Amino acid sequence: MIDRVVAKTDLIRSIDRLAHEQSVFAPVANGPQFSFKVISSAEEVAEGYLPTALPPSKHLLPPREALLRFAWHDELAVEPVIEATETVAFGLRPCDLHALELLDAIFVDDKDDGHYRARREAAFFVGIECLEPCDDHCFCESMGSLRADSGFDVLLTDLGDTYYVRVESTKGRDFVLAVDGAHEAVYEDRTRLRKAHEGRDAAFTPRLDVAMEHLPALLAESSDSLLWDVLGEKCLSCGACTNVCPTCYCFDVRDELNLDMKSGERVRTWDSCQLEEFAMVGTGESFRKPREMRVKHRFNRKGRYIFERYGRMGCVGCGRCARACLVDIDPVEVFNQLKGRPVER
Amino acid sequence: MTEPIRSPERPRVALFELASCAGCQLQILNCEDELLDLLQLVEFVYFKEAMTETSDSYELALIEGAVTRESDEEKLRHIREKAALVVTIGSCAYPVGVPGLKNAHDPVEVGSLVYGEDAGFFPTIEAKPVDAVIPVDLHILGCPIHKDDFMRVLTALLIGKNPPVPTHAVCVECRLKENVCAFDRGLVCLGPITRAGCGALCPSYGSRCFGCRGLCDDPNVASMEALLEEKGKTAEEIMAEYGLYNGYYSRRDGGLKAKVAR
Amino acid sequence: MVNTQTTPHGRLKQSPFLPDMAEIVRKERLNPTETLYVLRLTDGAELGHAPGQFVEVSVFGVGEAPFSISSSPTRGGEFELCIRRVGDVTTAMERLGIGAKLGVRGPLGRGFPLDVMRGNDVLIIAGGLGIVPLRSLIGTVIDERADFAEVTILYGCKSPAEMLFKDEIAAWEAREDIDFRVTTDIADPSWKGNVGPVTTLFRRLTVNPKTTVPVMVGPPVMFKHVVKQVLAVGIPEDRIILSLERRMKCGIGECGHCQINGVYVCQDGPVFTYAELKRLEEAML
Ligand SMILES: Cc1cc2nc3c(=O)[nH]c(=O)nc-3n(C[C@H](O)[C@H](O)[C@H](O)COP(=O)(O)OP(=O)(O)OC[C@H]3O[C@@H](n4cnc5c(N)ncnc54)[C@H](O)[C@@H]3O)c2cc1C
Ligand code: SF4
Ligand code: SF4
Ligand code: SF4
Ligand code: SF4
Ligand code: SF4
Ligand code: FES
Repeated sequence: MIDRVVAKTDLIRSIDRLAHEQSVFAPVANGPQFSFKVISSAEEVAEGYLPTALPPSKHLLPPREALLRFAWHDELAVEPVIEATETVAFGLRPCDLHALELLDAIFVDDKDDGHYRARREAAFFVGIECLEPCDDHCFCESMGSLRADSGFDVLLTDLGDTYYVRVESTKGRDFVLAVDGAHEAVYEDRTRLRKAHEGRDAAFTPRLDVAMEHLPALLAESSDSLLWDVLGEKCLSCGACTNVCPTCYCFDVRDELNLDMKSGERVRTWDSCQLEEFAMVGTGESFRKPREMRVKHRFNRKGRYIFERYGRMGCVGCGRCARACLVDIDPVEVFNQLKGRPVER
Repeated sequence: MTEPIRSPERPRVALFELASCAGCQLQILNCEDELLDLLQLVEFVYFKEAMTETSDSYELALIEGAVTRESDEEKLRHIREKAALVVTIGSCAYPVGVPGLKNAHDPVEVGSLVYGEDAGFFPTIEAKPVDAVIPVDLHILGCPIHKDDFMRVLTALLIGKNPPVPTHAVCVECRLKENVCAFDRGLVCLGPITRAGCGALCPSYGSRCFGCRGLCDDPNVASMEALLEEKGKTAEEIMAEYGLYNGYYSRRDGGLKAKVAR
Repeated sequence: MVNTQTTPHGRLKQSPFLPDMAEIVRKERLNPTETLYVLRLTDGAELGHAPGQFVEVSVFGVGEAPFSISSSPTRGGEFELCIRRVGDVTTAMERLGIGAKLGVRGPLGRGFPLDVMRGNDVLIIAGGLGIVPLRSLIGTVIDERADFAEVTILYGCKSPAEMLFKDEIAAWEAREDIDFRVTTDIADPSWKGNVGPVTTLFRRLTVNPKTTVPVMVGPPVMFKHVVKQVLAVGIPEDRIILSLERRMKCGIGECGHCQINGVYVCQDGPVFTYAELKRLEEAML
């Protein structure tokens, strides 16, 4: 499709209009942090934000979601809850776009999960490229997720007072054509885009000592590493790392009965493999009780299991888990130490 | 054959008060909207004091408050004999909240501070959690408890389901709320070792967790202490931090770590 | 059962969590803690399972839990579950009466590899509740007996009182074309049979490693010992069949709970070959 260029002010005005008409989900500042929220005006949108506290996946796979509703009237009646609101997700970073594509591969392509799919199909993604590292924790470049090539309707690149808009869907075309003064990208625009990309490529340096393709093998051969014990001693099992991770999607399912005792919902809620109860069975036995086993499991999911199953990395290098961890468990350190860097106790 | 899961009887519920501010009872009375529903499900027999006559008959005993007198212990043993289920409500009963603060001081001093000359008439013992005296089936936690928590426990018990008690730490709920972590606000916080269920109430209001719900199932106390030390807390300050709500256990031999090992 | 709903886009959507409805046709207490449930789908359809598969059963308002299908598909119509009371769902089920409605999702997972067993000697080894899914396989083997060579069944339980399906066991024992042996860990005065773990039964067998397919279901300790024994007689790793149990929430490879290293028990299993599991440290074999 034809790429366009829009003035920033025009795009913001367009977002503002949209925000008054429909649900627009965008990053908003919260003290030093940022969160995706449904905005009511474009003023709320934070520019140049760090990866949000919770990932944008919370829109497609909410932390708490009803799957079924049931009630006993004359008979027991059970119905699925499949609800979706048309939503524009504005300002998705490349790392998050990669993570959302992984979730699509799992919940749509593989599982055909109608609850997820309804929301995914009602969502419109406006991506925004990163031209410099967001902070010291990010390592998207090493995980192959700095460059977004798919998974969005439009992708913005900041060219100063304009955005270069890459258009990938008809919905995306309609979106950009609705922006005042949008014009087709011409040779000069493409040159500026290329310059921006060159600047980006220079600004990001690899942070992992191991090539992404070799992570699965590295993890497979590191099963007995002492590093897991060191991490297991430190880890608080607080679940912060999994809650904030854009590729984490494990969940619990349980029934909630209303006070009338005649109706209720079956809900799914985010869960975490870092919690002792996660692998515990009715008889009280936990199949992943030692903390080091749980930490090891998380890193293996991120760098190995997901890749082996879905052909995409389970970590996009957004650095959220490292930012959130109170005891400084950081995937960059972990992978590099497995690769041979000394471990500090 | 509709609604197959509920038992037909209306269980009787009795409420007992030990040393506390009665704030948790107030939470139950505050369930205005739900109270009518509630009264259809259970029969409420409210006792301010434990009765010893044979008339006291109840299936579920709710206990508010900490053990602070020898007579409390007798009272509790009596309740345990009568009730099929003993459930504590609030932090005073477990892990001992405000009533436990006095434990850090000399009992004689505390006695004369509160009762002056008459101190001798009010013999008090070290404030203990209810489960230090009798086996407890369930703790409804919080200072004060949350009415939703209370209602959830009650409905679960009525359909014969294990009440949903979170096993994990407050941090799990706190991160879901996208709060700015207390540690990033220059504070320390007991969230990583405290049992969730409050929805990370205190951090959500710009404060931090003081541990009012007691330890979670699988707390890494050693790592927590290392973290507090790294943030510049001395051993005494850490004890004072625990002392707010977890004083009873942290002052035993081996401190909170020993409580976990048990 | 309506399994679909229309979205804003006008397309039909499915919820993988919406169960079919089933009703309890019959109920039989086998033990203080174990009950046999005979279920029928309310729409009259057959469950269409293979031995070794499981279903997720819903008691609405309480929850959902996975159970092996204990009856053989060759018996048609109704299907049977044998359930031990341990927690919320299993306790709630005991309170349900005949005609009560349950949700059933499934059949789920991968069953026993019948094609590998056909034409070969089948050695079935059950420990405790492991007899529940194996009973489905045994039913199929009996009904299609001509397809299999030698059939041996070893069943170990903790005590004679814990033994399940006593009448059927008597019938299996009486058959000429099946070598059935049972043992208990501890005897009681009424017990005249073998005493000791199921491994003691194995030791007395002569098995042909070239033609035998061992199929085992039981507690983790049993796997440890029996796998060692069948390996020792020279049965190849990819012909040793076992079925595992882990915490499950979705049964379709989504929720992550049942994972053993990179493998989902619910989707890739619950039936595996030893070759598939031996490198997985979390399989604890
Ligand atoms: C493939 C498979 C087949 C099984 N077959 C049988 C069988 O034929 N008969 C039988 O009695 N039991 C069987 N089990 C075990 C049975 O699933 C558990 O006993 C049951 O889930 C306990 O549920 P509850 O709600 O009563 O217990 P709770 O302790 O209240 O458990 C709450 C929830 O946790 C999960 N859970 C807890 N324990 C287990 C477990 N062991 N396995 C999986 N999920 C669990 C379930 O989602 C359950 O609803 C099987 C388990 C699996 C994985
Ligand atoms: S955030 Fe850190 S301490 Fe918490 S569970 Fe994850 S690794 Fe452990
Ligand atoms: S593991 Fe950490 S760095 Fe990787 S995607 Fe998840 S939160 Fe981001
Ligand atoms: S991790 Fe990379 S892609 Fe993600 S926000 Fe930071 S710089 Fe951008
Ligand atoms: S504020 Fe406290 S409870 Fe919240 S994440 Fe930080 S440490 Fe955990
Ligand atoms: S945040 Fe901590 S102190 Fe506050 S209510 Fe929750 S458990 Fe209690
Ligand atoms: S039970 Fe959910 S992934 Fe297996």
